[in-house]
Amino acid sequence: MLPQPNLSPKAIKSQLESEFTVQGPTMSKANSVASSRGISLDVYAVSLALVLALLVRLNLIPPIKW
Amino acid sequence: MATIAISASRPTSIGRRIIALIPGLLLLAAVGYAGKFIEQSIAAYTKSHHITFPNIEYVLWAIVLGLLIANTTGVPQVFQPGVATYEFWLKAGIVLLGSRFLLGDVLHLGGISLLLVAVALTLSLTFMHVLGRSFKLKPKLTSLLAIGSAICGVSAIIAAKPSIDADDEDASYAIAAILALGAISLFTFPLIGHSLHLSDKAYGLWAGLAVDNTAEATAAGALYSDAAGKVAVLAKTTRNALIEFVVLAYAIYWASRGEAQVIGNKAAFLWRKFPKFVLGFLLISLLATLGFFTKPQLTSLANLSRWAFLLTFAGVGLRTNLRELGKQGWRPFAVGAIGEVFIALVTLGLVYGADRSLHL
Repeated sequence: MLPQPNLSPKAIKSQLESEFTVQGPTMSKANSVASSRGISLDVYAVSLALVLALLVRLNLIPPIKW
Repeated sequence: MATIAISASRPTSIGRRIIALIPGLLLLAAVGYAGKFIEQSIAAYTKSHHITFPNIEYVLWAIVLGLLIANTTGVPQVFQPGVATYEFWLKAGIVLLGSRFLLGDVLHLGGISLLLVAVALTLSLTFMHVLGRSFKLKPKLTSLLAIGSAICGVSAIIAAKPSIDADDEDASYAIAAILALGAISLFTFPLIGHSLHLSDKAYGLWAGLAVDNTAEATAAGALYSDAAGKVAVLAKTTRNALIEFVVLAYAIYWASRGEAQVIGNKAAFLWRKFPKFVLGFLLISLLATLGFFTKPQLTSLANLSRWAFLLTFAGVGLRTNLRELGKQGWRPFAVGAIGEVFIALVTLGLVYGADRSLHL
């Protein structure tokens, strides 16, 4: 499900294969799979940030301290 | 920076996937918070004992703690799913950081960044290709290293890999080289910045232009100062926004040589590769400029962004395996290292010039 912390070429290769791309004869499909997942991460992150901003704007969560 | 994925490689339910993230998220929070605790404890101790001691930001402590764990006991499998979410927190944090910029600042600094990025990009890509040829690296490995070092590290390599039909092995080497160099820059950039007495803006701009991975660029900026961290994120975000154009150019080049698939709809390709969090950052910045948030609300958003970065910095340390980085082939690393030094020097010169002529 998730990338290995190991940074050996073998480990990264397996990460690339399992999560980003599946290189081979179906290149366009591979591209779209990789891209759609990349977009998902960005979209999820942006969505979370916007929801949090909205909650803060509507005072639905207490002031966040650091 | 390794990219995370909320993967669908195995048919697991969403609930199980979310549960699998919890241990790692708790570890990120614990390491990040420990870094913050150490910073505050040292500050309190030195203050109460009237000791003059430079403030070492939680950023450094979180990364060092993460590095210690990852390179001694290792990160057990159960924590890895959650730890791998650190890039997600980085992107969410960057979007929230938009609240700390008025759109005018973004346009001013972003415009300067764009100009400097364009110059640095051209020089970097040219230099990396000359270097790759001199070291007899495979052309596609050279392309990946050039894209990674000129634009935005691992994300750019991952975006470019399928587009230019590069080997997995080449992508692995390029990623490893970029990650190793990112780790080194974390510790060297602040030292160089301090020794040159760079202003927060100049240093932040330099870190954002020269450090490849967004997480490392953010950390390198924050290690210098809070203000420098802000500018570093903005400069890096500007750089990230160019990723799709560079990847498209490489894809067309390799397709013209018959070694990658021909790109059909170029507009769709550009949109697919465009980092969407840049739009989120601009949207929040626009809302802040229009007065959508009150001052206390802006403070809350800024603090939320800092909490998100705290998780990111812990993840940077926890995901860096120094032994494995050391095992990589020396040639890609050498090309990457020489290229990085070149890029760092060029961007430093550019920032110096811009600081004098454009009064950053």
